[in-house]
Amino acid sequence: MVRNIQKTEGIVIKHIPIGEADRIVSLISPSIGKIRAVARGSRKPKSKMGGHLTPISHVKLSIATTKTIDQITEVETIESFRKIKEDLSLLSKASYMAELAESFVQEENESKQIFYLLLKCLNLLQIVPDTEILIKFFELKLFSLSGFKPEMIICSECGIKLTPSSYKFNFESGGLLCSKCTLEIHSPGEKLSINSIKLIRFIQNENFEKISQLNSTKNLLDEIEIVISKYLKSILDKELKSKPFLDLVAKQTKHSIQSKKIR
Amino acid sequence: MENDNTTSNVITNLITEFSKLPGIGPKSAQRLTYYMVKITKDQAFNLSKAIAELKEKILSCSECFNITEQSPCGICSSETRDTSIICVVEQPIDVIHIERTGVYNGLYHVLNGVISPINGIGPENLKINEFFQRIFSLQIKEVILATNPSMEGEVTSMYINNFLSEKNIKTSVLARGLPIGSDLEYTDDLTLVKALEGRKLLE
Ligand SMILES: [Zn+2]
Ligand SMILES: [Zn+2]
Repeated sequence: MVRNIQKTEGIVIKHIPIGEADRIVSLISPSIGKIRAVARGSRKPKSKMGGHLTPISHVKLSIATTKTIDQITEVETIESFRKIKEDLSLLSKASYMAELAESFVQEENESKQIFYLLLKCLNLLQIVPDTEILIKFFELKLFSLSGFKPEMIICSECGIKLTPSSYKFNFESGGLLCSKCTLEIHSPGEKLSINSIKLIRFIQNENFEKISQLNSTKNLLDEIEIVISKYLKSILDKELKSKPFLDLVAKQTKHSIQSKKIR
Repeated sequence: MENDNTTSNVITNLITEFSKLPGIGPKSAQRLTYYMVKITKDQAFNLSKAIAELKEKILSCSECFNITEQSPCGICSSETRDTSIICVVEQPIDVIHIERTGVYNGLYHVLNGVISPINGIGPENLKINEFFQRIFSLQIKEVILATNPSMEGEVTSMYINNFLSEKNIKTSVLARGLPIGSDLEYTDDLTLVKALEGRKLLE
């Protein structure tokens, strides 16, 4: 069997056990998009690969293409995101971003931009104080990179330029509706206040360093969250599996003042 | 696999059933099936009886959710076990492994899985609420979290610990670090950090 070995980097999204000691690992990579490959023997305690294939890890790896499923032959950690893994709230957010990124990446397709967006946001997750706005930043940039950028400047139905005001966000057309179109369309969508619209535009156009300097955005973020989660559902046509846990942990951390780490 | 003219249905059926088992691929399933052709009728009968009995007699303990023939199980109903300490594990098989060491004499609680956000498995899919109720009714003083050192195992431990930390119950996790017989050179940094944090003074 002639083997074609490819070297690449990737972010581990998830893995499932298979057979006696193997794992099937899902990753996203900048050069070949979604990867699904088997890591033979990686569940054995002495495995050289096991510890490197933990979900939410940035790794360097070699993949051998075979007739059936690709095989990981070597793997080494670049960044293990230890801080994320020791904090329930950060981990629930990282899992959500990873699953979301994976849903927008296609198999064997170049996906540099989405890969580096996820990598950047995982790094930021470990250092920024406001992780709520980071999630919104990630979602909105992901939409832009994958051709689903919400239309916030003109009416997404008739194309007329919108004057500053509050408008409905329509999930089918993926953007705001002018007041005339709102009346004509059967289910126009969800209302966004003028400040929420401004904030979405700002996030779409700016880098995170600028966005993180904004303050008092909490109420706006709640409003934007409703619109984004419904928009996501209409694009992906499914509920993200990691979303319920994200919401649960967010609810619980609101209750308890701080989540204590295991030491 | 073989084509239908040359292989009997009976053989194919058994191969199919075997290949559904964990760790058994089509090759092993075939080998096992042809082995079964050669065993005595008694052997075959005993095997099928043992499997059928398992399904009839084994149930889940109403207290700790370990597998047992009677509920509550032997450990939960024992009078010599320390009922102030409880060890939380992922699967029934973990209880067997810890029991075999002979160094633990407290109670157990089997979660029947782990929290896995990306696979959509949350606390509500496990025996976690049952556990929280149990520590109050039993007046537990110490909890040992013995989930696997995988990401999912850690998430589960953190989730339970968040709850316990508000309740003033002593909580510990199993030491994380290098497996015996492993090689430092090939160890990932997360394991290495845990091993350093959990280092021990030599006496
Ligand atoms: Zn319009
Ligand atoms: Zn029991």
